[in-house]
This record gives sequence, C-alpha cells and structure tokens, in this order.
Amino acid sequence: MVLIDTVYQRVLALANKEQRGYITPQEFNLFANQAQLEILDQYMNDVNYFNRTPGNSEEYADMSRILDEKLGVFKTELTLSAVNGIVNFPVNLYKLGKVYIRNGAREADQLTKDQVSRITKSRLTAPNQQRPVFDILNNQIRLQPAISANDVVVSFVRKPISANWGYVVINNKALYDPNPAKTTNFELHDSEETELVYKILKLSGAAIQRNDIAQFAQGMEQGIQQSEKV
Amino acid sequence: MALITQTPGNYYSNINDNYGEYQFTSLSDVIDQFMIAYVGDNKVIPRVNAYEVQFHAKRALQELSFDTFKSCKSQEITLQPNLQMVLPQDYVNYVKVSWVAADGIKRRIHPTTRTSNPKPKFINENGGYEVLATATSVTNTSNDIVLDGEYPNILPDMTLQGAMDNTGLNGFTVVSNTVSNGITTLTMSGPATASFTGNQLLNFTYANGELAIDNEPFYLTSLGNITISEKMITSFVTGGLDANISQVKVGMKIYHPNFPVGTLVTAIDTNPVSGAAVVISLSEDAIAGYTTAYDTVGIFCDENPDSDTWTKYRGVDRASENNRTVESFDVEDISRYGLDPQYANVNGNFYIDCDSGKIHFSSDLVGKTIVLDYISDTLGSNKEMKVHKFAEEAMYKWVAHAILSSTMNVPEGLVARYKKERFAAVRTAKLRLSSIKLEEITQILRGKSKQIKH
Repeated sequence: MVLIDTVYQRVLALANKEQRGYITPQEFNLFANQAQLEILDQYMNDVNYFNRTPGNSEEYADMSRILDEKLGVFKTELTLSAVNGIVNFPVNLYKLGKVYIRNGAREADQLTKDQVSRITKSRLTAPNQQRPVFDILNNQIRLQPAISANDVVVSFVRKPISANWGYVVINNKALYDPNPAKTTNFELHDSEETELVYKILKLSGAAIQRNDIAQFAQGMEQGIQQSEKV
Repeated sequence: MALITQTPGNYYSNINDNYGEYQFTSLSDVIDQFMIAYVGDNKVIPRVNAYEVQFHAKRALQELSFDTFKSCKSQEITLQPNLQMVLPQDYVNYVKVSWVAADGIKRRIHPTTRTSNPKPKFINENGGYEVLATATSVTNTSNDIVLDGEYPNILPDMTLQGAMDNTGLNGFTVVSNTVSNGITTLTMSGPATASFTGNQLLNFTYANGELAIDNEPFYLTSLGNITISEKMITSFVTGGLDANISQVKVGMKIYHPNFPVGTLVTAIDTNPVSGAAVVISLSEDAIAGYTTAYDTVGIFCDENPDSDTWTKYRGVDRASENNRTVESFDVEDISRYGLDPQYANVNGNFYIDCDSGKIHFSSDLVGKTIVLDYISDTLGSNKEMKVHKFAEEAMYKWVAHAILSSTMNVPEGLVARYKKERFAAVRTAKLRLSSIKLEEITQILRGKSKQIKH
C-alpha cells in the first residue's frame, strides 16, 4: 500500500508549487487513479516480457517473481455458481485468469466460440467433466459441459479501489484529512511509490501546461522502466 | 510422494474393484502429467490447449492398442442354430476365434474367404429390377387397381412406372396393398382418370431409387384388433388363424394401413395371458383403430433377409464325418490326397459379415462354446482408458511428437528428434509388454533338438 498523502506532497514538491504551479486535490485524485491503472496494465505487459527472458534465481532480483508479488495485491479468487454452464463475471473483475470446476479440481481451458463449436463435434476432443472448456460472451463465462454447480472457482485480477486524497478546507486551504471515509490510499505495492510520483507529475505537467515538468517526469519514469528491463 | 493411495486392507478386500490396477496409469493422469512436464514457458511445447493433448493422447491410445498393448478382451458364447455371433460393441478386429472342447483347451477356428453373405436383391423374370404385376381392372375416379393374383411384394412407397398412361395412374405411389380371395388390390395415391379392363403389365419401383430386396414378403390376413395409439395387434381368432403367422419374426417390417411405414415387429406372443390367440407387438403406435372385424391384412417382410449363399453354407451338415474331414467346402469332393493345407482343419470355419456386424460359423460348430479374442481401441468406456506403465513413456513421446509435428514454426530438428524418441519408446514398450521371460524362452528352446516334421 502506498500512502496517498506522501505521493501528493512529493508531486507538489517536484512541481514547485510556490514558483511554478499548483495541482489541486481534485486534479491530483483524477491523475492518481489513471496512474494506478497504468501501472496495473503495465504489469501484464511486463509479465509477458519477462516470461520470455531467462530470468535468474536470485532472491530479490527475479523480475517474474517480483511482478507476481506486485500483482498478488490484486489477484483474487471467487467461488461462483454456474447455471447451465453460465457464470456471470465478478463485479470487480479487471482481467480474467483461470476458471476451475469442482472446487478447483479441474481447470477449464479458455477457447473462442468457434473453437468450442469445433471441438464438441468430435468425441476425441469433446469437453467433459475432466477437461472442461469455456468461452466468453456478454460478460459471461460459458462452460462446456454446461454444468449447474456451486463450485466454479474463478481466479482474476480485480479492479483497484479508487485512490482519493481526502481533505478539509481551512482558511481557503485544503488540508489533508486521513479519515478513512475521505481518504483512500493506493493499493499498489510499496515499491511503486516512485513510479506513481513520476506518472502523476507527468500528467500534472501536461495539465498545468508545464512541459519542463512533464518531460522531467517522463524521463525519470522511463529511467525506472529501462533499469527494470536491462 | 508414493503412488499407492489405498491401504492394503482396502485393496485386498477389493473395495474399489481395482485388482491389478497399479500396473496402469489412467489416460487422464497421462494428460495431466504431460501438461506439467512438457508444456509451459521454457519447455519443449510453450503453449497447447488441453483438448489438443486429449485428442493426441486418445489417438495414441488407439494406435498403441492395435499393435503394442496386450489384448485382454474376449467373449464367450454357446453357438445357437442360427450359427451367428454378433460382434462385440467395442470390437475393432479379432485376435483369435476358437471353440472350447471338453478339456477347456481352445481349438482355433480358421477364417474362410470362400463364402460370404451378399445382399439379396430382387430380380424379376425378365432380368429387370422392377417388381412386375398384371392389372385386370381400374375404375374411373377410383384409386384402386385390381391385379390378377397375389402380389405381396408390391409394397407401400413403391411407384407405378411407365404403364397405364391411359388411366392417369402413372407416377402414383402405392398407399396400401390388400388381398381377398387370392386377388390383390392396390390403393394408389391418386385416382384413375379412365376405366380399364383387360391385362396390363405394371412396373413398380421405389420412389427413392432403392432396389427392391429379395425378402419374400407375405400376407397375414385376419390380423385382429388394433387399438389406436397402441403398439400391438391382438387376434382373438382361435380357429382358422392364418398359417403364415409362423413366419412372422421379430425385426420384420409390417406394412399395414393402420401403422406408419417402417413399423417393426418387436415381439410375438402365441400364448398371451389375455387369452387372445396371438399378440404381435410393434415398434410404433397405431394411427387408427380396427375393432369390428378380422379381415384386415398386413404384409410382413424381413428387411435383412438371409442370402442364398449363407443359407446354403449354413445348410450343409458339416458335422458328418465326410463333410467335416474334407474341409475344402466342396462337399462332393471327399478325397484327401492333394488337400490344400490352408483348408485342412477339423475345427470349423467362420467369416465376418461386416455389413451386418456378425460372425458366421460353419454348421459343425453349432452348440459349441465359441470364444472370440479381440482387440478394441481402448476408448470404449472411461474405465478402460488407461495405459500400462510399460507404455507410459511411449504415450508422452507420441503426444509430444504429434503436437510438435502439427504446429507451425517448430524447428524441424526438434520434430525429427521426437519422432526418433517416439519410435524408440514404442519399441521399448512393445518389447516390455511382450513379457518375454528368460526361463520361459529357455523352456521353449529345450525342444530345439526335436525333429521338425513336414
């Protein structure tokens, strides 16, 4: 978890609010959520990238394992009901992972609709309770065989909760209010604090029309990303 | 982690009905283990769907069943006078057909290629394939054609072809065929437009182009009561019952206006509890009732009649000494000098009628215990989908090669490597499953100094 006030103060410090510009809490909150989702999306691309590289067995430097740990914050699993093979998507689903039947005993392969149609025509490939498959249509998982059961396990990456810097206005100044009813910290892994600052700063620079700030932040952000992939 | 999960107590009390199961690995486990060991990042197969592995694993199981696995399947019957044995449900090919003598030892029955069971097709006296009949009268506006005798072989669904242009009946289909006092009357699907009296040769063929079968249809008159929506005909006539009733057999097709075309006889009860004379059970419900008289007529015919070839082969009494010892099928030639060794056996013969799915035996085997050892593709039921541990590696290699060779952009060297590995693994499996034991080989070789007699 990354404290949102820490990030906000750093962004303000880097933007040098007294001489160059000020980022309002409303703007910050908007940029904060965009930055959080960008980082989450980047995880998926990074997993794909690092799975194609050899990796290493060091304790703290294997990027695949580090990414798994970062993504682990959002990875979740739910046991859902299937009615005639139809399972509704979880409401907070961001990226679908695996689908299992019989309480996780058998994994269902994800196929396209035409693949499902093809394989059900042959008895050598037809899905069964041992080898179920599914396709996705209308935000629903459609299992084959079309079972009705309460033990369908769906693993997925959930949407992060929206970050929000809460505040009270005193003497026309916004002061931080840590009340949980108002403030929500970033859910991202602690190690993402630096990248969050740069991403929000980049967006803020564009918003206040300060290219020097945006370029500085972008340079720093790229530096972090490049160092991860060297 | 050990592989045995069952306690010895449970195993020996056969709770799971799995004696000897340890020698096998289930197909499901083979697929799961393949996915673990061969599929994934930095593995030989980076990505494959489980259903593809399932397909190749099942194909591997089929192929290995045919020439690598041991054949454990067999079936025993006592041969009935019809001299036929239905092929088992999961039959793919036979290993051995034998009969069992009083000592329990199997005597091998040899296959014959010198006879068969062809489909008997109807042919008329002129050499044509149409069913011929002679019409004697047609009445204008009536659908009926009166013939000059009994014609049970003109069946509903047949079409009148190339005759009676003058009456407008050409091209109409036969709706029903009834007989009274030895005269057949055909009811056609449309009315005549003119009357006719005299003798006119008629041709009938099936509208769908099928040829008529030489199945000798026959009439059964005074059938009895028919109740709508019931699958039976009940005859209460105790005297004067049609003598043809004895020819009615289960599986025959019945043509009767009160039953849909394609209705089959499912049972015949000549001594029903109800007190009726005969009850003929049918496969379809009656579409109309018939309760007031006993003059309704049905035509019965066998859709799969025995061919003359089979009837004659079956009819030869090969149990008699002369016929049995000749074995040349030429029953009139009883000489033994110059006997062809391939036919020189006293254990009878069989052939497989692929069309009907039955094994036909020679008549000397009637009443004997027949054993059929056969192979299947091991995919008949979930329980039998298993692989002997001697062949488990062959399964993995087979599936790996099948996937690699059917995937684009796989280095040809990798495919070739797995082809060789598959070949070697299958050969190893075959050798192991041959169960060659040193002591048994030694025992066989001890007889090597015996004179070989020709």
